[in-house]
Amino acid sequence: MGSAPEDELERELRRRMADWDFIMRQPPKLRAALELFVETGDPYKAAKLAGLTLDEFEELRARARIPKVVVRGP
Amino acid sequence: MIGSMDTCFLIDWSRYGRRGLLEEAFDFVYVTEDVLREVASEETLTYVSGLLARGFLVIYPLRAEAASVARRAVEISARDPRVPVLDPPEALALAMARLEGCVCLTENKGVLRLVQYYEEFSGVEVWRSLELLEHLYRAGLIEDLEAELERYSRETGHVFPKRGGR
Amino acid sequence: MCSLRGEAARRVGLRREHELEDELEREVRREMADWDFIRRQRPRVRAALELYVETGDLRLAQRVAGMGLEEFYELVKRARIPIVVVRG
Repeated sequence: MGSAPEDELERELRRRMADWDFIMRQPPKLRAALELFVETGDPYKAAKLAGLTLDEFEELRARARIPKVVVRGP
Repeated sequence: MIGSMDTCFLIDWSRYGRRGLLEEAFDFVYVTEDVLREVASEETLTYVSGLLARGFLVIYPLRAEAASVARRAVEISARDPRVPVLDPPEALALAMARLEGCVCLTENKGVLRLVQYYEEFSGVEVWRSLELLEHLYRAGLIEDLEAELERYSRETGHVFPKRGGR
Repeated sequence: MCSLRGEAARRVGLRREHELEDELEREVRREMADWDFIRRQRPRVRAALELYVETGDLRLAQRVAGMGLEEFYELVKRARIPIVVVRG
Protein backbone atom coordinates (compact mmCIF):
# COMPACT_ATOMS: atom_id res chain seq x y z
CA MET A 1 0.00 0.00 0.00
CA GLY A 2 1.40 3.43 -0.92
CA SER A 3 2.57 5.70 1.82
CA ALA A 4 3.11 8.82 -0.27
CA PRO A 5 1.37 11.92 1.15
CA GLU A 6 -1.11 12.02 -1.75
CA ASP A 7 -2.07 8.38 -1.10
CA GLU A 8 -2.74 9.11 2.56
CA LEU A 9 -4.77 12.18 1.73
CA GLU A 10 -6.82 10.24 -0.81
CA ARG A 11 -7.41 7.44 1.70
CA GLU A 12 -8.46 9.93 4.36
CA LEU A 13 -10.94 11.55 2.01
CA ARG A 14 -12.44 8.20 1.02
CA ARG A 15 -12.75 7.24 4.68
CA ARG A 16 -14.43 10.50 5.67
CA MET A 17 -16.85 10.72 2.81
CA ALA A 18 -17.97 7.09 2.67
CA ASP A 19 -21.44 6.14 3.85
CA TRP A 20 -20.38 3.75 6.61
CA ASP A 21 -23.97 2.91 7.54
CA PHE A 22 -24.48 1.62 4.03
CA ILE A 23 -21.14 -0.21 4.04
CA MET A 24 -21.77 -1.93 7.38
CA ARG A 25 -25.20 -3.10 6.19
CA GLN A 26 -23.70 -5.04 3.28
CA PRO A 27 -23.12 -8.81 3.32
CA PRO A 28 -19.56 -9.76 4.37
CA LYS A 29 -18.05 -10.06 0.91
CA LEU A 30 -19.32 -6.72 -0.38
CA ARG A 31 -18.46 -5.01 2.88
CA ALA A 32 -14.91 -6.35 2.74
CA ALA A 33 -14.57 -5.18 -0.86
CA LEU A 34 -15.84 -1.67 -0.07
CA GLU A 35 -13.48 -1.44 2.90
CA LEU A 36 -10.63 -2.58 0.69
CA PHE A 37 -11.52 0.16 -1.81
CA VAL A 38 -11.59 2.77 0.94
CA GLU A 39 -8.10 1.69 2.02
CA THR A 40 -6.50 1.29 -1.38
CA GLY A 41 -8.57 3.13 -3.96
CA ASP A 42 -8.11 0.06 -6.16
CA PRO A 43 -11.43 -0.86 -7.79
CA TYR A 44 -9.95 -3.83 -9.62
CA LYS A 45 -8.87 -5.68 -6.49
CA ALA A 46 -12.06 -4.74 -4.70
CA ALA A 47 -14.21 -5.98 -7.59
CA LYS A 48 -12.33 -9.29 -7.65
CA LEU A 49 -12.78 -9.73 -3.92
CA ALA A 50 -16.49 -9.03 -4.24
CA GLY A 51 -16.84 -11.32 -7.24
CA LEU A 52 -18.25 -8.43 -9.27
CA THR A 53 -17.41 -6.91 -12.62
CA LEU A 54 -15.78 -3.50 -12.51
CA ASP A 55 -19.06 -1.94 -13.65
CA GLU A 56 -21.01 -3.65 -10.91
CA PHE A 57 -18.46 -2.61 -8.31
CA GLU A 58 -18.57 0.95 -9.64
CA GLU A 59 -22.30 1.02 -8.98
CA LEU A 60 -21.79 -0.30 -5.48
CA ARG A 61 -19.04 2.22 -4.80
CA ALA A 62 -21.33 5.03 -5.89
CA ARG A 63 -24.13 3.81 -3.63
CA ALA A 64 -21.63 3.69 -0.75
CA ARG A 65 -20.70 7.29 -1.59
CA ILE A 66 -17.01 6.50 -1.64
CA PRO A 67 -15.43 9.10 -3.87
CA LYS A 68 -12.82 8.45 -6.51
CA VAL A 69 -10.14 10.79 -5.28
CA VAL A 70 -7.32 12.14 -7.36
CA VAL A 71 -5.06 14.65 -5.69
CA ARG A 72 -3.96 17.25 -8.19
CA GLY A 73 -0.49 18.70 -8.36
CA PRO A 74 0.22 22.35 -7.63
CA MET B 1 10.66 -16.13 -2.47
CA ILE B 2 7.26 -16.07 -4.16
CA GLY B 3 4.39 -18.52 -4.02
CA SER B 4 1.03 -19.45 -5.46
CA MET B 5 -1.87 -20.42 -3.29
CA ASP B 6 -5.18 -22.22 -3.53
CA THR B 7 -8.36 -21.75 -1.51
CA CYS B 8 -7.93 -24.72 0.82
CA PHE B 9 -4.56 -23.51 2.00
CA LEU B 10 -5.81 -19.94 2.42
CA ILE B 11 -8.88 -20.95 4.42
CA ASP B 12 -6.82 -23.10 6.79
CA TRP B 13 -3.99 -20.61 7.20
CA SER B 14 -6.37 -17.70 7.87
CA ARG B 15 -7.45 -19.43 11.08
CA TYR B 16 -3.93 -19.75 12.44
CA GLY B 17 -3.05 -17.27 15.16
CA ARG B 18 0.40 -16.60 13.70
CA ARG B 19 -0.79 -16.29 10.11
CA GLY B 20 1.36 -13.17 9.72
CA LEU B 21 4.37 -15.49 9.38
CA LEU B 22 3.29 -16.12 5.79
CA GLU B 23 4.39 -12.58 4.93
CA GLU B 24 7.76 -13.26 6.55
CA ALA B 25 8.32 -16.33 4.41
CA PHE B 26 7.24 -14.93 1.04
CA ASP B 27 7.67 -11.67 -0.81
CA PHE B 28 4.25 -12.08 -2.38
CA VAL B 29 1.85 -14.83 -3.38
CA TYR B 30 -0.15 -15.29 -6.57
CA VAL B 31 -3.82 -16.22 -6.47
CA THR B 32 -6.52 -16.43 -9.09
CA GLU B 33 -9.97 -14.90 -8.93
CA ASP B 34 -11.37 -18.36 -8.26
CA VAL B 35 -9.76 -18.26 -4.85
CA LEU B 36 -11.23 -14.86 -4.02
CA ARG B 37 -14.63 -16.04 -5.17
CA GLU B 38 -14.59 -18.96 -2.77
CA VAL B 39 -13.71 -16.97 0.31
CA ALA B 40 -16.90 -16.38 2.29
CA SER B 41 -16.41 -16.00 6.02
CA GLU B 42 -15.80 -12.61 7.63
CA GLU B 43 -12.60 -13.81 9.22
CA THR B 44 -11.06 -14.99 5.97
CA LEU B 45 -12.36 -11.98 4.05
CA THR B 46 -10.76 -9.61 6.53
CA TYR B 47 -7.48 -11.48 6.26
CA VAL B 48 -7.59 -11.60 2.45
CA SER B 49 -8.51 -7.92 2.24
CA GLY B 50 -5.49 -7.01 4.29
CA LEU B 51 -3.20 -9.12 2.14
CA LEU B 52 -4.60 -7.59 -1.05
CA ALA B 53 -4.31 -4.08 0.36
CA ARG B 54 -0.67 -4.62 1.27
CA GLY B 55 0.06 -6.02 -2.19
CA PHE B 56 1.05 -9.38 -0.72
CA LEU B 57 -1.68 -11.28 -2.54
CA VAL B 58 -1.37 -10.63 -6.26
CA ILE B 59 -4.04 -11.64 -8.75
CA TYR B 60 -2.21 -13.64 -11.41
CA PRO B 61 -2.18 -11.70 -14.67
CA LEU B 62 -1.48 -14.54 -17.12
CA ARG B 63 -4.61 -16.56 -16.67
CA ALA B 64 -4.74 -17.93 -20.22
CA GLU B 65 -1.26 -19.41 -19.94
CA ALA B 66 -2.02 -20.85 -16.52
CA ALA B 67 -5.33 -22.31 -17.77
CA SER B 68 -3.63 -24.45 -20.37
CA VAL B 69 -1.17 -25.92 -17.86
CA ALA B 70 -4.02 -26.41 -15.39
CA ARG B 71 -6.02 -28.24 -18.05
CA ARG B 72 -3.13 -30.67 -18.51
CA ALA B 73 -2.94 -31.24 -14.75
CA VAL B 74 -6.67 -31.90 -14.51
CA GLU B 75 -6.51 -34.33 -17.42
CA ILE B 76 -3.68 -36.27 -15.82
CA SER B 77 -5.57 -36.46 -12.54
CA ALA B 78 -8.74 -37.62 -14.27
CA ARG B 79 -6.91 -40.41 -16.12
CA ASP B 80 -4.50 -41.57 -13.44
CA PRO B 81 -6.14 -43.26 -10.44
CA ARG B 82 -3.03 -42.66 -8.34
CA VAL B 83 -3.73 -38.93 -8.46
CA PRO B 84 -6.88 -37.52 -6.82
CA VAL B 85 -8.84 -35.47 -9.33
CA LEU B 86 -7.94 -31.80 -9.25
CA ASP B 87 -10.40 -28.93 -9.17
CA PRO B 88 -9.60 -25.73 -11.09
CA PRO B 89 -8.36 -23.61 -8.14
CA GLU B 90 -5.84 -26.30 -7.15
CA ALA B 91 -4.83 -26.97 -10.75
CA LEU B 92 -4.33 -23.25 -11.33
CA ALA B 93 -2.20 -22.88 -8.20
CA LEU B 94 -0.01 -25.69 -9.50
CA ALA B 95 0.08 -24.13 -12.98
CA MET B 96 1.15 -20.74 -11.63
CA ALA B 97 3.90 -22.40 -9.59
CA ARG B 98 5.16 -24.24 -12.65
CA LEU B 99 5.10 -21.17 -14.89
CA GLU B 100 6.68 -18.84 -12.35
CA GLY B 101 9.03 -21.29 -10.63
CA CYS B 102 7.47 -20.52 -7.29
CA VAL B 103 6.32 -22.59 -4.33
CA CYS B 104 2.80 -24.00 -4.59
CA LEU B 105 0.91 -23.60 -1.31
CA THR B 106 -1.88 -26.14 -1.14
CA GLU B 107 -3.43 -28.75 1.13
CA ASN B 108 -4.57 -30.78 -1.86
CA LYS B 109 -3.23 -34.31 -2.06
CA GLY B 110 -3.84 -34.46 -5.81
CA VAL B 111 -1.31 -31.67 -6.42
CA LEU B 112 1.26 -33.42 -4.25
CA ARG B 113 0.81 -36.79 -5.95
CA LEU B 114 0.89 -35.32 -9.44
CA VAL B 115 4.23 -33.70 -8.70
CA GLN B 116 5.52 -36.95 -7.23
CA TYR B 117 4.45 -39.13 -10.16
CA TYR B 118 4.90 -36.90 -13.21
CA GLU B 119 8.27 -35.64 -14.32
CA GLU B 120 6.78 -32.72 -16.24
CA PHE B 121 5.61 -31.33 -12.91
CA SER B 122 8.37 -32.72 -10.71
CA GLY B 123 10.23 -29.41 -10.62
CA VAL B 124 7.40 -27.77 -8.70
CA GLU B 125 7.91 -27.43 -4.97
CA VAL B 126 4.64 -28.09 -3.14
CA TRP B 127 4.19 -27.00 0.44
CA ARG B 128 1.33 -27.82 2.70
CA SER B 129 1.03 -26.04 6.04
CA LEU B 130 3.39 -28.72 7.41
CA GLU B 131 6.19 -27.86 5.01
CA LEU B 132 5.64 -24.13 5.48
CA LEU B 133 5.87 -24.48 9.26
CA GLU B 134 9.02 -26.59 8.86
CA HIS B 135 10.50 -23.88 6.65
CA LEU B 136 9.61 -21.19 9.19
CA TYR B 137 11.32 -23.25 11.88
CA ARG B 138 14.49 -23.66 9.80
CA ALA B 139 14.41 -19.93 9.11
CA GLY B 140 14.33 -19.23 12.84
CA LEU B 141 10.86 -17.67 12.76
CA ILE B 142 9.41 -20.47 14.87
CA GLU B 143 11.22 -21.59 18.00
CA ASP B 144 9.62 -24.91 18.74
CA LEU B 145 8.28 -26.82 15.76
CA GLU B 146 6.36 -29.43 17.74
CA ALA B 147 4.64 -26.80 19.86
CA GLU B 148 3.77 -24.82 16.77
CA LEU B 149 2.34 -27.88 15.03
CA GLU B 150 0.20 -28.47 18.08
CA ARG B 151 -0.99 -24.87 18.01
CA TYR B 152 -1.73 -25.08 14.30
CA SER B 153 -3.57 -28.31 14.93
CA ARG B 154 -5.74 -26.77 17.67
CA GLU B 155 -6.57 -23.69 15.67
CA THR B 156 -7.22 -25.23 12.26
CA GLY B 157 -8.29 -28.82 12.90
CA HIS B 158 -5.21 -30.34 11.25
CA VAL B 159 -3.62 -33.48 12.65
CA PHE B 160 -0.02 -34.39 11.91
CA PRO B 161 0.52 -38.07 12.68
CA LYS B 162 3.92 -39.59 12.00
CA ARG B 163 4.40 -42.57 9.70
CA GLY B 164 4.08 -45.77 11.66
CA GLY B 165 1.08 -44.53 13.64
CA ARG B 166 0.07 -41.58 15.82
CA MET C 1 -6.22 -39.21 1.09
CA CYS C 2 -7.87 -42.44 0.09
CA SER C 3 -8.95 -42.57 -3.49
CA LEU C 4 -12.01 -44.65 -4.27
CA ARG C 5 -10.04 -45.64 -7.31
CA GLY C 6 -7.76 -47.54 -4.96
CA GLU C 7 -7.73 -50.88 -6.75
CA ALA C 8 -7.08 -49.24 -10.09
CA ALA C 9 -4.39 -47.09 -8.49
CA ARG C 10 -2.58 -50.13 -7.16
CA ARG C 11 -2.67 -51.78 -10.58
CA VAL C 12 -0.98 -48.81 -12.22
CA GLY C 13 1.69 -48.55 -9.57
CA LEU C 14 0.55 -46.58 -6.56
CA ARG C 15 3.57 -46.49 -4.29
CA ARG C 16 3.24 -48.55 -1.16
CA GLU C 17 4.15 -45.53 0.99
CA HIS C 18 1.23 -43.61 -0.52
CA GLU C 19 -1.15 -46.48 0.06
CA LEU C 20 -0.10 -46.68 3.71
CA GLU C 21 -0.36 -42.91 4.05
CA ASP C 22 -3.89 -42.93 2.67
CA GLU C 23 -4.90 -45.73 5.03
CA LEU C 24 -3.45 -43.99 8.07
CA GLU C 25 -5.14 -40.70 7.20
CA ARG C 26 -8.47 -42.42 6.73
CA GLU C 27 -8.11 -44.28 10.00
CA VAL C 28 -7.40 -41.06 11.88
CA ARG C 29 -10.41 -39.32 10.31
CA ARG C 30 -12.64 -42.28 11.20
CA GLU C 31 -11.46 -42.41 14.79
CA MET C 32 -11.70 -38.72 15.52
CA ALA C 33 -14.97 -37.90 13.75
CA ASP C 34 -18.07 -37.10 15.79
CA TRP C 35 -20.32 -39.81 14.39
CA ASP C 36 -23.32 -38.68 16.45
CA PHE C 37 -23.10 -35.29 14.82
CA ILE C 38 -22.64 -36.82 11.38
CA ARG C 39 -25.64 -39.13 11.74
CA ARG C 40 -27.86 -36.24 12.81
CA GLN C 41 -27.31 -34.38 9.55
CA ARG C 42 -29.76 -34.43 6.65
CA PRO C 43 -29.00 -37.15 4.08
CA ARG C 44 -27.05 -35.11 1.55
CA VAL C 45 -24.83 -33.51 4.17
CA ARG C 46 -24.36 -36.80 6.00
CA ALA C 47 -23.31 -38.46 2.76
CA ALA C 48 -20.84 -35.65 2.09
CA LEU C 49 -19.28 -35.92 5.55
CA GLU C 50 -19.01 -39.69 5.28
CA LEU C 51 -17.41 -39.30 1.87
CA TYR C 52 -14.92 -36.85 3.35
CA VAL C 53 -14.05 -39.27 6.16
CA GLU C 54 -13.41 -42.03 3.64
CA THR C 55 -11.54 -40.06 1.01
CA GLY C 56 -10.21 -36.86 2.58
CA ASP C 57 -11.33 -35.15 -0.62
CA LEU C 58 -12.74 -31.84 0.59
CA ARG C 59 -13.66 -30.66 -2.91
CA LEU C 60 -15.58 -33.78 -3.82
CA ALA C 61 -17.43 -33.85 -0.51
CA GLN C 62 -18.22 -30.14 -0.79
CA ARG C 63 -19.88 -30.78 -4.17
CA VAL C 64 -21.95 -33.62 -2.78
CA ALA C 65 -23.05 -31.39 0.08
CA GLY C 66 -23.97 -28.62 -2.37
CA MET C 67 -22.16 -26.08 -0.20
CA GLY C 68 -19.47 -23.48 -0.66
CA LEU C 69 -15.98 -24.60 0.23
CA GLU C 70 -15.62 -22.50 3.34
CA GLU C 71 -19.09 -23.41 4.55
CA PHE C 72 -18.33 -27.12 4.16
CA TYR C 73 -14.93 -26.68 5.79
CA GLU C 74 -16.66 -25.24 8.88
CA LEU C 75 -19.05 -28.17 8.90
CA VAL C 76 -16.13 -30.60 8.78
CA LYS C 77 -14.69 -28.87 11.83
CA ARG C 78 -18.02 -29.09 13.67
CA ALA C 79 -18.06 -32.80 12.83
CA ARG C 80 -14.57 -32.98 14.40
CA ILE C 81 -13.13 -34.57 11.29
CA PRO C 82 -9.49 -33.57 11.17
CA ILE C 83 -7.47 -32.64 8.13
CA VAL C 84 -4.76 -35.26 8.38
CA VAL C 85 -1.24 -34.75 7.09
CA VAL C 86 1.15 -37.65 7.61
CA ARG C 87 4.66 -36.60 8.50
CA GLY C 88 7.61 -38.33 6.91
